Amino acid sequence: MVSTLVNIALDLNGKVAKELRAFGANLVLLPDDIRENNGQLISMDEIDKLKDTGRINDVYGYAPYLYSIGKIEEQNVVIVGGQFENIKKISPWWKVEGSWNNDNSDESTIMVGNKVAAKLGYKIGDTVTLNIREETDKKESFTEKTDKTEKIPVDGISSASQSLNGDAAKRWPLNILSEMNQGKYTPKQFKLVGTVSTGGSEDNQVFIKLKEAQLLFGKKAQVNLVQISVLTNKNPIEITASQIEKQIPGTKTRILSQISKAEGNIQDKILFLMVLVTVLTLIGSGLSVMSTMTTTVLERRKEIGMMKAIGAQNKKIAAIFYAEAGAVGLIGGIAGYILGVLMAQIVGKSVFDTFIGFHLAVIPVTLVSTVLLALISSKIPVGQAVNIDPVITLRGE
Amino acid sequence: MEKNNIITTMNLSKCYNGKTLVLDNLNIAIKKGEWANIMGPSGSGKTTLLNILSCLDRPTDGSVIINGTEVTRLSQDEMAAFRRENIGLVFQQYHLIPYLTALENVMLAQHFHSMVDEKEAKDTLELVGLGHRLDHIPAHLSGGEQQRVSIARALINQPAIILADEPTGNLDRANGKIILDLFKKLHKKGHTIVIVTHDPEIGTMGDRLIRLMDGRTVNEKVTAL
Ligand SMILES: Nc1ncnc2c1ncn2[C@@H]1O[C@H](COP(=O)(O)OP(=O)(O)OP(=O)(O)O)[C@@H](O)[C@H]1O
Ligand SMILES: [Mg+2]
Repeated sequence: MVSTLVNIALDLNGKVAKELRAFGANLVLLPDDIRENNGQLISMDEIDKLKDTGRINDVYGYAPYLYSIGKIEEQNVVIVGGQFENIKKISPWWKVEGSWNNDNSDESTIMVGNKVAAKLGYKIGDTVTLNIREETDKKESFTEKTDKTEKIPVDGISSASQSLNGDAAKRWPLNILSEMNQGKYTPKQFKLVGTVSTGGSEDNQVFIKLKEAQLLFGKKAQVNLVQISVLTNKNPIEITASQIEKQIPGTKTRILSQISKAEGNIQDKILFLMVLVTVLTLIGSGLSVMSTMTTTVLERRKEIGMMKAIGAQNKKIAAIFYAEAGAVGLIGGIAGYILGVLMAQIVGKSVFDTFIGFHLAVIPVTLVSTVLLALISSKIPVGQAVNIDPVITLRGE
Repeated sequence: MEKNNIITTMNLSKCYNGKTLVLDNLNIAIKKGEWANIMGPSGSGKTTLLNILSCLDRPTDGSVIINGTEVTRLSQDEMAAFRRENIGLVFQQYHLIPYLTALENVMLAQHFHSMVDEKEAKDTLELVGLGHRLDHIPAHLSGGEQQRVSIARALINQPAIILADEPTGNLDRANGKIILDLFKKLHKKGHTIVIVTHDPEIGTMGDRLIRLMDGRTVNEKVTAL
């Protein structure tokens, strides 16, 4: 039991951190203010630096996004260009009916949010005509309306940090939808391969492959933002954030603090619970060792009386029983360790859907603690053994 | 008080619960190398007396001097140490450890005394005629054999005095005789022996017979010298 808990506890931080990835990215990478004023986005080359584990630690996964505005049958929609393999990794809660866009295929495919699909009555396999708003001039797009739009992404992100989903980072283009009614639109046909349900803003968006989006939006090898999922079990997220800003000049990061905090909180709570269970288990096993040893001493009181009668020192009698208790503790520890590893696997599989790693350090910890526990719990029974009066026990038939 | 008395009791009394007087003002002296038998009806205080002579129990009154030491003044631990060095005990119920072999049972007494010496333990079992039963556990030994193991255990640390409470009480005649022959052998070697017994035949064997009646000695007679 104890062994199970220690094993799980050691592995827990990593597991929970990964588990909570399900809440989405906890860091968003954006162009800094200067770039934004110039209408400059983030380039794909810059994003590749996130893979440099030598300079940037703890990045679990990331997904770049490029946004634009379009219409389907006169309905305004946000068009999202994304890398779907990456989205799968950092946003595993996306439910997709049909299939995902294949990042590597040349076919023009589209996924639509389930609300879009419902509204327009689209089914998988249909052909969707997407009217993409033309970017006549780079400066004319979001960034031209400096006063308003410049702040919007930031507000969008900070509201994302208040929502648990973290996907609200992508919600900001919605705010400017109403202002996007004028302009020229170019039609383009896509094959509908899947519908997306997240319960969030994605339900109202449509998704095409990032490469195709970059081509169609005239933003070659560029993206608006990158959602990053950072592991927080080793270092505070701020460290990773500043590493990224340093390695990719001209960008800024926004920490979706709620998520990171939730992560830390839940880990603390689970850890506390585990410690509590461990302590209670130790007390429980201690009591059971104590009652077992008391029974042993009672059963063998004649033996003990005889030993005392033939002149055994108290400490030698105590040593016999402590050795016995220690051996029981050791055997219990070994059995417990084996059971513990198995149980940790079962818990790991059912709760975290992964196997809990082996921690060699658990072996000595388990054995030392079970032996110690056995010895400490035997103190009272051994005291009883030592105090046995041979005159009385030898008399009894 | 003679110098060659190995056991001397002076005005020895034992009282349970402040009223049951079990031993009443006993003055007994046993010489070095003597074989004394204690007889008396059940409840006359024989075991109580033997326990006090074994330094297992304390008298309510009076004193006991063994081998020049006033044992009644010793602390609990000192009494245990004194037992280890001077006294070998043989019980009616043998009191062997059931999961240890004959040899291990004897070696356990060595362990409590000082250090184990397997050869010496084997020799002692040889002496009591159990050289071929060293590795048997008590359950695989007859009552007589078990009693011989317990005598070997009593002898192993070479005590000057051997105290036995009805050592043949659980044995048939033949086995009882083997045990008695052993005691004779030990007596010849110079051990002081005190045996509590109900067997009148044993009573005639020792150097003297101490009769107890209601905690007092009666008609003490010297059978031989
Ligand atoms: N712990 C005790 N508390 C009270 N009375 C006791 C205790 N131990 C012994 N007695 C009493 O002391 C008396 C003497 O007991 P003891 O065992 O010495 O007799 P004994 O001569 O050995 O008898 P037996 O031949 O049956 O073995 C008995 O009446 C017994 O009931
Ligand atoms: Mg008796």
